[in-house]
Amino acid sequence: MVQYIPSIMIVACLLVVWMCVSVHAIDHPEEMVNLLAGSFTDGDRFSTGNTLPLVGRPWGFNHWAPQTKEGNRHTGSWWFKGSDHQLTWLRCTHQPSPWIGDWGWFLFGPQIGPITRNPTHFWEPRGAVLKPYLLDATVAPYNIRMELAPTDHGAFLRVTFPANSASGGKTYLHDSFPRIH
Amino acid sequence: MIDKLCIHIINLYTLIFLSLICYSFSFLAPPTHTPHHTSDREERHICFAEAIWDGGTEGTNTADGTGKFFEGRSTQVRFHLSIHKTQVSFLQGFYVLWFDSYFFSCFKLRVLSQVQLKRLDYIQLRILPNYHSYITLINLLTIPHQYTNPPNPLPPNTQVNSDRMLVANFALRIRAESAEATGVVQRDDMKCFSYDQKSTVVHVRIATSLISPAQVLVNLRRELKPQKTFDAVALDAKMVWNE
Repeated sequence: MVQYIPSIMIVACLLVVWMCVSVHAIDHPEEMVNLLAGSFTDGDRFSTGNTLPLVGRPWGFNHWAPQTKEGNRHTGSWWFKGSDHQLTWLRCTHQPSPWIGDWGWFLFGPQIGPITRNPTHFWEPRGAVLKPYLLDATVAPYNIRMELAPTDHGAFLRVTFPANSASGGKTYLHDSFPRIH
Repeated sequence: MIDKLCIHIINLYTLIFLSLICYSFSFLAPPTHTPHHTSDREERHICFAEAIWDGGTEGTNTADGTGKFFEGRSTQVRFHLSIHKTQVSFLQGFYVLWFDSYFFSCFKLRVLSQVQLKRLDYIQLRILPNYHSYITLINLLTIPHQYTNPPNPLPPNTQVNSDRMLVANFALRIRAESAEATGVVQRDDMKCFSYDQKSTVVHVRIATSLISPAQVLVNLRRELKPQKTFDAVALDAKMVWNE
């Protein structure tokens, strides 16, 4: 039995080497983050964590998030739900939790048509790209694409309006989520 | 007589019938107003809301000399300030200030008795300053310098004064620039970049600061240089997270 020990050790070493080689490091762990996780709380019925899909940089000055509720003085801190199909604004926020509330926030976003205080876009949150470094959503009914990349103290917003909204540019909800992540 | 009455009734029914036919056919007429084909539907804006833009400026001197910019500030800044009761010796009672974060709401002021004050070690002021409330707060905190009657048993407060109050003029300063914008429109608490009706891809560079408008500009120029594209900024953010 003793004579087999060196062979067993060699086999064990080869096995360890093989495991080290075969297990690859994840090249892009930031792509594996799902910012919508925990954001599907439904009022008094159940809570999935009360989190927000915050886009920002590590130790960034602000966070940026989509808002699915109307933005007015009565909105309060429950302004996002992952299952809402209405998108009103993008929001600069400093809210760590709805229970604490927000401070230093403001709203912004694209509009087509007369300026309105309550813009309503429609989207499928799971069809948008919501990563820690990027927000990329295409919204109905005007097929507006909004992309936001954070910086340390701000953000870069790129909005793509439809080429010709007046002549049939209106789209429907199913057109606005080409990808499901 | 009956014949005439019948004729009138028949005429009446005929008129009603013809009127109904005409009314029915009116639905087939082309509409005079098609909502999605009017020119106002073509207006394109990127709006900012829930901030104060009155004190800000706007203009055309973006970094590359084109487009528009404007400045403003978000005033919904909240502080939780704890002060030991000996530091507020100027107060006969305990002023509990409660501010609503909204511009048009009233604030409540409650004065506690000395008995209640003795039970407390710290006074916590929850401050949500806006145009009016932080001014009110600063006035209250500067009372010790004027308070003489009745004599204050404790030495003058040197721990809290308006000069050292961080809340004075405190706000999240905002600056937004858009090289493609053709104008800036203000509507209530909104300020919007206007774009040409044929614009498709437009960019807005946003920066913030808690220090000053000048610092916002520094942050914007440092982090979002004109030659830096959106994709480069997104890739930069991605690689920071990757690291």
